[in-house]
Amino acid sequence: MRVRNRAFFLFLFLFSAPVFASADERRGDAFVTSSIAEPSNLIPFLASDSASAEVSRLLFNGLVKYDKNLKLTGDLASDWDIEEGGLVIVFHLRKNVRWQDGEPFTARDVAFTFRALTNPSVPTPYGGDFEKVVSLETPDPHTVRVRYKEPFSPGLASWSVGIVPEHLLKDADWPATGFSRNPVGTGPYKLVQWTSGEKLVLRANPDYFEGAPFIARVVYRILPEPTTAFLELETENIDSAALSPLQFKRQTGTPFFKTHYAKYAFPSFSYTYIGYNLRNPLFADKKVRKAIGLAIHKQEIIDTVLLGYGRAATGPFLADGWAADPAIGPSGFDPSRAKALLAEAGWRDTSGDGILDRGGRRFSFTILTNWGNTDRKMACEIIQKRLRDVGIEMNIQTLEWSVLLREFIGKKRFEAVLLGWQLSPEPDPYDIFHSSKTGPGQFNFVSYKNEEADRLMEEARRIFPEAERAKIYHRLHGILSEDEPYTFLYVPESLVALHRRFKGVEPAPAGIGHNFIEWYVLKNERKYR
Amino acid sequence: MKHFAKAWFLILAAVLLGSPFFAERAGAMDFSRILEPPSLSHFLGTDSLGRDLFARLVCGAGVSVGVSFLAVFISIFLGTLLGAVAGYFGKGIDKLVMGLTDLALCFPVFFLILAVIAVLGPGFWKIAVIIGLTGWMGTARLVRAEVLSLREREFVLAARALGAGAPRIIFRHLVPNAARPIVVNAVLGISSAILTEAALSFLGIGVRPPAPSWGNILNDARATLGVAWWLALFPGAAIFLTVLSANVLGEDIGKP
Repeated sequence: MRVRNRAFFLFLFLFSAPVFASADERRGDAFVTSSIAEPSNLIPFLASDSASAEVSRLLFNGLVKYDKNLKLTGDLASDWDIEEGGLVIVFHLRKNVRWQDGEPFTARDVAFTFRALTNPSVPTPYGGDFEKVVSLETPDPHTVRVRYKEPFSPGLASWSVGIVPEHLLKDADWPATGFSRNPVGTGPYKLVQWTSGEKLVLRANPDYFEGAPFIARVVYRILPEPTTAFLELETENIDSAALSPLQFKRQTGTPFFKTHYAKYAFPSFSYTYIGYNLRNPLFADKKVRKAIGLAIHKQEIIDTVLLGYGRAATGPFLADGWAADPAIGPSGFDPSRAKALLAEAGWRDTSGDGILDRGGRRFSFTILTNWGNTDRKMACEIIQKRLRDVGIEMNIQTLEWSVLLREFIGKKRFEAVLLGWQLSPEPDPYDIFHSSKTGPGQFNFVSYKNEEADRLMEEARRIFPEAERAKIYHRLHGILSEDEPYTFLYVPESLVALHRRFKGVEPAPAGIGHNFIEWYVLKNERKYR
Repeated sequence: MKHFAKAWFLILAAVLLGSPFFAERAGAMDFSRILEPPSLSHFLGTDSLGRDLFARLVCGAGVSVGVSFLAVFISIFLGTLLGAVAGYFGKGIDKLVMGLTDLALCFPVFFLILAVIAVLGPGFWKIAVIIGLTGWMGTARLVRAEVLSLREREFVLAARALGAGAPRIIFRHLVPNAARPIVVNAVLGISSAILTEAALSFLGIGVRPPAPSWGNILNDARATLGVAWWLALFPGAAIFLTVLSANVLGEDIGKP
């Protein structure tokens, strides 16, 4: 009995030690991580690159944010009301929030940010989210009333955009380069040093409204080459890095790596797809698109390109999100059915060269993807081989990103593309699939048009309750899966290595970064002063 | 060294002749055998799609060497023509052509190629032509200098006295007598063209996949460097040996 008791106490001691550590004892150390690119701009609504978003997320807050389960929750707003049948959103702002220079945060800052977002001379990619706002009023310093032209449920999530201080930016000349390199936000960290091409250093904000973060400093080292980042990881010069599937599977098995790093894998917020130019007679027939989908062995791509770290995509929604219909599975691999569908559509090999033809035209097309992305190139090569098996010749062309977007996709000069979309927890796919978004430079570049889908997307924007929106999106998911304007290929996993000295890490649907301000390092394990 | 270089080119010639026989093998993927080290069945190993590296190197030789020969042919032809015309006629034409040459030399050629390919899209012929069109300046200067000294020689005066026109004098008398430096330049040009092609493919803008070239095999190796040394070593060695051999042979021909 005694022995067991002692063991019990020892057990209790060992596993609860972190809980006993007081807040002050947890404070300290630095988190050194790698960024694949240099942030372009730290003003939250001017930057569209992920490197900038990752840093500015620690410097600024929006009115709302996503919690670890990807539900919207308050950030600078403590809560909100939806009034007048969804026409008005009223945000109740937190009190006692201060900018990092000591000035109080008020509704005036929100109004200022809104004016900047809708100012035509401010080059922001997020302006579209606010087009439906008719007016924004600030009846008192802690209330913001936003009135919409019509009920617009995705509008709520758009208020996760970082709010900027009016008192520092009111006379700014956009794009306000001085502030973007020396930003002042309300966030848990403050930028203290930015050495171009090398690193950014952030220091904990002791007055953060949710409590000062435990990790005293965050350092982003710019390491564009994944191989270099991995070497830095192996020498413990960085604490965290995104890994390639090959690194994750084959290079992390050493005893050193296992004792020093924990590995995390979770579905990324993205999917990779083939998009067809539906204005091209080749792809106008649904049977042809479905045949291509059936001729592609998705699991083989996932196993080879991602080494199994991914899953088949079924639609344009987050794989485990509420908008996706879990009943819809991937299209499956069935080359004989693909051939039958192609024959039904009139494609036969009359010339005997192994490639199908119809009315004297061979079934040959070129797929475009961005150069430098090895995964996508490999996926193209595997697909090329599978399509050849059913009698379709697919050529591959890799193009520089900006040229691909501007010259080919923007002008609709393409037959098919293999690309990916990043997703946010707000599922509204209006910009990508609604028939009103097919203009030059708009995102429905495949020119998809389906009246029922249009109607569903419009309807889903008008209602707020998640359960009701989910029903509509489930229907839409089914239509997209049936029409196949895209062949949805795969959802890669995010693969991350993190140094084991960081405690308090809590994997969740949102990944591991959601509670970063609660991570800490025990005193005896600290590496940096 | 010289014999070694010749031997390497003989091997290359054999590889080029044999490459059509390897085309099928170079494209055959085996997903159960990705990234295997050299073994008896794949004696240089396999790549990340389970394709045989040896077969891909053999086919890649066709692309890498093919592009560079074509490019050198274009640049030597252009360079010789412009250099000879400038040297023979002198005066205004010389100033014009040499001015053009200096202008072309001022361009950061590699970035020009990058920009052109970014707009036109990559491809075997486009790359060969663009490398050729941007590599003629050295030859033009060299040929001009040769022609400047040759045109005062007695045999040229004799030809002119016999009533030969400028084209005949240039192509029958001047260019053949400047042949040696031209050939040396061509052989050296091959090595730089191979490197340029490799660099373009390394940046992922060379020939279209799945066609292999030494440069793009090397580029693919970057992602697997920590796991598959063979994917980087063998194409690197092939480029190295070819460039070295071309330089050795070029110097050897250049010796009087």
